[in-house]
Amino acid sequence: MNRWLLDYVRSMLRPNAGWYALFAAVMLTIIGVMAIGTVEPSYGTLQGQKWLPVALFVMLICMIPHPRLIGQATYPLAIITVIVLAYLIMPGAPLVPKINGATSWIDLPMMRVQPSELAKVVFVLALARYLRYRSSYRTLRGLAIPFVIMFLPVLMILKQPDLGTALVFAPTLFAMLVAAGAKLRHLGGLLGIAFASVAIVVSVTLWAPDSMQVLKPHQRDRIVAMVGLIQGDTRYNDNEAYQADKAMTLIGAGGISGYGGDRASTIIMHNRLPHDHNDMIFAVVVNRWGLLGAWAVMGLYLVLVASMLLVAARSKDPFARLACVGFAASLFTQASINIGMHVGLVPITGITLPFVSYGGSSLLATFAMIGLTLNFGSRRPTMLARPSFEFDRSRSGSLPQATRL
Amino acid sequence: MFHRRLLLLIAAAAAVTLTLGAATAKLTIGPEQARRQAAAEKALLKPDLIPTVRGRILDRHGRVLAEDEAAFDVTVHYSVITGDWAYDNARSDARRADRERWSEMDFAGREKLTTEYKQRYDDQIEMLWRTLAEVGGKSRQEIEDRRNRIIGRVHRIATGHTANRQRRLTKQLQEEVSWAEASETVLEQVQGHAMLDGIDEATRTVVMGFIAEAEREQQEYLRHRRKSGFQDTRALQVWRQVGLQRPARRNYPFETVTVMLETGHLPSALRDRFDGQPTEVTVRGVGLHTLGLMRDAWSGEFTSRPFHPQNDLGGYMDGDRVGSTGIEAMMEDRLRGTRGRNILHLDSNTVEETPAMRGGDVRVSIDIQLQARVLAIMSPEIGLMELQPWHTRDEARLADVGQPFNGAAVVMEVETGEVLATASVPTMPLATLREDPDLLYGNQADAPFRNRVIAQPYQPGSTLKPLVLASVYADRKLGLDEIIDTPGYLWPNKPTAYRDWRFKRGGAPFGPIDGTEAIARSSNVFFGKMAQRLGSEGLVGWFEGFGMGEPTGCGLPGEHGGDLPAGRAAGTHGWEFMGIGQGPIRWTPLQAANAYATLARGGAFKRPTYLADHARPIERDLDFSDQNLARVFEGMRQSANESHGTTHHLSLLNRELIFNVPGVTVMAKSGTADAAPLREAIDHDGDGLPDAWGRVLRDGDHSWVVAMVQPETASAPTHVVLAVVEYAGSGGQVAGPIVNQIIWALKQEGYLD
Repeated sequence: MNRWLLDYVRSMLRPNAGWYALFAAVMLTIIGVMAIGTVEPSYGTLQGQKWLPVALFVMLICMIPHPRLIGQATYPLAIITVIVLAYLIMPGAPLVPKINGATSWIDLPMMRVQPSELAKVVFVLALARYLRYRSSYRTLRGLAIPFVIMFLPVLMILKQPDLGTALVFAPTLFAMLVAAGAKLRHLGGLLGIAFASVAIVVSVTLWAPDSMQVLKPHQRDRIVAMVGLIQGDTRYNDNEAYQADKAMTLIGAGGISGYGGDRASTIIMHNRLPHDHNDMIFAVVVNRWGLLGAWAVMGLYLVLVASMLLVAARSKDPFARLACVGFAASLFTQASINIGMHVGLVPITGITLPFVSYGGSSLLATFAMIGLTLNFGSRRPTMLARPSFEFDRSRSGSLPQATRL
Repeated sequence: MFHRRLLLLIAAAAAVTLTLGAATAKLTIGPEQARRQAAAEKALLKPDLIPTVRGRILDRHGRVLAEDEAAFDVTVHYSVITGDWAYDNARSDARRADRERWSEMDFAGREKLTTEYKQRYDDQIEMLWRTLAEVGGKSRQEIEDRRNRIIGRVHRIATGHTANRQRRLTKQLQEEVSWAEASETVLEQVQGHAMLDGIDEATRTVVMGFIAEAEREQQEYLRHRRKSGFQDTRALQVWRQVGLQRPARRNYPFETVTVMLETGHLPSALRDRFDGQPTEVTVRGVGLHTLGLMRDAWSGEFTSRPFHPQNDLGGYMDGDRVGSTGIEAMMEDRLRGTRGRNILHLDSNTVEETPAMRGGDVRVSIDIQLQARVLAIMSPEIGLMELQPWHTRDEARLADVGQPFNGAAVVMEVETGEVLATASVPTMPLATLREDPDLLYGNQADAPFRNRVIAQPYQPGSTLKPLVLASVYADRKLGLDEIIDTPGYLWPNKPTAYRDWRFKRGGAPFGPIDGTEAIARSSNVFFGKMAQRLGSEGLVGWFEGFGMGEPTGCGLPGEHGGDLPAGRAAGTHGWEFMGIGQGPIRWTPLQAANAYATLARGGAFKRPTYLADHARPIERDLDFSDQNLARVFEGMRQSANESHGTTHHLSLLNRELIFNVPGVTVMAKSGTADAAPLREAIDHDGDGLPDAWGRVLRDGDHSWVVAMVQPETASAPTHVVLAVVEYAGSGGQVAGPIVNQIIWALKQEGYLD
C-alpha cells in the first residue's frame, strides 16, 4: 500500500509543463496578497494565510483522481452546479445574501461561496467531456449543443446578476471549439456576428440611447462613459466613469517602477478607488510596482496559459486536452477583461483578476484548475477506445489515434 | 491539427497581452503619466481655504461705517431646506438596495420604495431644525418661518432668472422658448443659506461638534461598509450639509442713527410743529448710497481676477462677495483682502500654511454724524422735503400740500474738494433692502436705489449764473463795473420768449444793473446778454473748465457726466438759454458743488474726492482775478443777505430770512430749473426697459440753492452746501431753508467755528 502510494505520489510529481502553470499561479497569488495588503492589510493576511493554503489543498485534492474518474463525475457535477445556480436565483432562497444587488453567494458556516466561480471549472469539464469524441461541431448545426451547454449557466449567472462572470463563458467555449477542431469559418462567422452585435449595441447606445432597451440604464451609461473616457471627455469622471478614471489615474501615476508599498497605500486610499482589493486590484499592482509590475503580471498570465496549452499539447487524452485549453481560456479571458477595463479598453464590470484579486471562491476555483492541469499533465499516455475529437480529414475513419502513436 | 490550433490560441493570447501591455504603457509613460501622477497626488493634499476679513470703511473721524460681522452664521444647504436632500438620499438607498428590482420598477413603484427609505432622512432633518432652534435660542416656528422665507426668496430669484432667460432666448432665437427650456439652476439652489445669524462662540462650538461627529461617523461608515453584515446606522448625515460661515453681510453701525435736531431756526410754519423744542429724528440708510452695497461675485470677476490656488488666492470664486456700488466697489481691491490656505498633506500629516491677509481699511471724507444730520433735515418728519403752503403761489398745487419731495444735498470742503456729507432722498434702508428689495428696486418713480448726488443730472437753472459772470469777466467781455440794461426780455422781436422772472410775473424790469446786482436779483436777461457776448462755444468752453460734461472722477461707480453740447451742437437754436442754466445742459449735484468749490478757490479746478486726506491736485486754473471774484461773491452775498436777493427771505412766510446762522457768512444762489415732467414708465414686454410713457407723476421746476459759506472770521469760503429738490418749484423758497439747516448742522459739528 505504501509502495503504491509512493509510486502514485512520484507519478504525480513527474515533471510536466503544469508545474510552470503552478509557478505562475503561485507568483500571481503572492503578488495579489501583497497588493491586497497594500490597500486592505487584513484581507491580504486572510488571502495569504487562509485562502491560499486552502486553495493549495484543493489543488492537491484535484491532482489525485484519475482523469477518467473526473470525466465520469463531470455530468453529475454539472447537474449539481446547475441546481445550485438555480437555487441562487430563487426569490428569497435561504443563505443567499444580496450583496451589491446580486445573489451570487451562499453563506456557509466556514465561508461565503460563490458558486459561479466553481461553475466555470465544471463548465469547462462538462464541455470537454461532451466534445472529446465527437466531430458533430464541424457542422454549423452541430455547434448548437455546445452553445446550449454554455447558455444554461450563463443565463442563470446573468440572472443573479453577475455579468462579469458570465462574460468568461463564451470566449472559453470558442477557445475549446477552436482547439477541438471546429471549422474556423463557422467560428469566425459567429464571432463576426458577435462583434457586429457589440458594435450595433455600442453605436445605438451612443447615438440613440433610448432605443437600446436591451441594456439597463447603468449599462448604457457605462458604455457612453467608456467611449467618452477614450475620447478624453472628462464629463463622466465624477459619475459613470469614476471607477475607470480612478483606476487609470492610479495606473498612470505608478509610472515605470511604481510608488512602492507605503506610498502606494497612501495614494490609493486617498484616491478612493472603489473595489480596490478585488475587481480593481490591477490598479493597485501597477501603482505599487509600475509598468514593470504590470508587464510581470501579464507575462505570468502568458506563462500560465502557455504551460496549460503545453500540457494539452502533450496529453493524449482528449478530455484532458480540452479541459486544459478551457482552463487556460477561462483564466486568460477573465484576466484580459479585468486588465482591459483597467486601461479603458473594456467597460467596467464586476470581474476579478484571477489569483490576484481577493476572494476565497475565486482562488479555490482557479487553483482547482491548476490542480486538474497538473493532474492531466502527470498522466502517461493511455490507450484510447475510440477516435478523439481531433479531426483530420485525411485520416478520418482510420484507426483510433492512440493506436497510431 | 490540434497543435496548430493551440499555436493559434497562444498567438491570440500573445496578441491580446501585447495590446494590454501597450495600453498600460501608454498610461504609465510620457505626458499621460505626468498628468495622471499629478491628479493622483493631488488627492493627498487637503486644502482648506481660510476666509479673509474685508477691510473696514471709516469716516473722516475714524468711526466705523462698514465692517464684516465678526460672528458666524450657521448655513444649511438648500436641498436640506427644501427637503430634497431626504428624497434624493432615500431614492439612492432604494436603488442601491435592490438594483435589479429597481430597474424593473415603474415610476409609482420607485416612488413607493423611495418613501419607505425617506423617513430616516426626514427624521434627521427634523432633528436638525430642533437642534438649531435650541442652540440658537429660537422657537421651532421661527426656524420654520426662516426656512419658508429662504425657499420663497430663492424661488423668486429662480423664477425671475428663468423669466429673463426665456425673454432673452425668445428674442435671440426668434422663436417661442418654453418655460421648461429656459429654466436652469441658479446658484442659490446649490448653496447653503443662513438659518442662524451671528451665533455666539458657545453655539459655534456646539454646531462644530455636530459637524465633526457627522464627519467621524461618515469616515467610520466608509471604512466598514464593505464588511459583511455591516449595518448603516448613520444618524447625523444631515450635519454634513451644515456649515459655519462668516456672514456674507456687512455690518453698518451708523445705518440707523437717531439725531436730535434743533427746530428753533426752522421756518416758523414748521417750527410751530415742534413748539421750537428739539426733536429726535431717526434716519435709516445713512450713508448707504455712498458706502455702497455688496453682491455675489459673477462672471465678470471670475474672468478678470479668477481664484487660482497657486497664483491668486485672493481671486474670485463662487460665493465670494464683491462691492457692487459706492465706496465698496470703488475700493474693492483694497478692501477685499486675500484669503489664506492651509494645505494638509495627508501622507505626512503636515500642514502648509498661507495666512489670510485682511483687507485694508478705507477712510472716507464723509463725516457720518454730519451726514446723519443732513438726512434728518431732509426726512419727512421735519417737513422741509414736502410741499408746504408757503412754497408756491399756485393755488392749484395747494391741494398737494404734504406731498413728499425727492432730492439731494452735498456738503463739500472747498480747500480739499473732500465731500463731507451727501444726501439722496429717498434713502435706501438696509432692512428693506434685505427683506424686500423689490420695494426699492421696483419703485422706478422715486428711484430710492439711485445715488442722486452722482447719478442724477438736473438742469442747473440760475445756479449757473455766478459761473457765467466769472467767465464773462475773465474773458473781458464785460467790464468789471459795466452796466447792462435789462428791459425785462432778451429778444425784442420775441418779448415773451426770454424774460426776467419779475417781469414775467408782471413786475417792473430790473433796468440797468451791473453783474453783482444781476446775480443778487437773478436777472435772466442780463445773463442772456452775457451768453451772447461769450458765444455758444465760449460758454461751453467755460462750463468745461468748471468740470461740466464729464464725470467728476470722484471714483464712485455709476457717475453721470451730465450733459453739455459740444462743437456745432452748442450753437443750435436757443443756445442762449445755457447762460441761465436752461437748454441742453445738465449737471449732477456733485458737479455743481465742485464747480462752486472751483469758483471759491478762485478758479483752481480739482476733482472732488470721497476719500479722507486724498485731496486731488489742481488740474487747471481758470484764473479768476480777485476783482472778478469780489463782484461775483458780492452778488451771492447780496442774494442771501439783502432784501432784493432771491435767497434772502421766504416771500410767502412773512418774509422770514432764509439764512439765519449767526457767525457765518453765507453767499448763495438759487435756481429754479425747468424740468421735463416725470411720467410713468410702461414696460409692455417686461424686459425692464420702458416701451411707452404713461401719466405724469411729477411736474414742475427743480429747486436749487447753492451756498458758499465761511465763518465770519475767514477770508474765503470754506464750504459749499447745496440742495436740489425735484419738482418742488421756487429754488430759494424750497431748497433755501434746507441749505440753511445744513449750514446749522455744519456749525453744530464744528466746521464753521
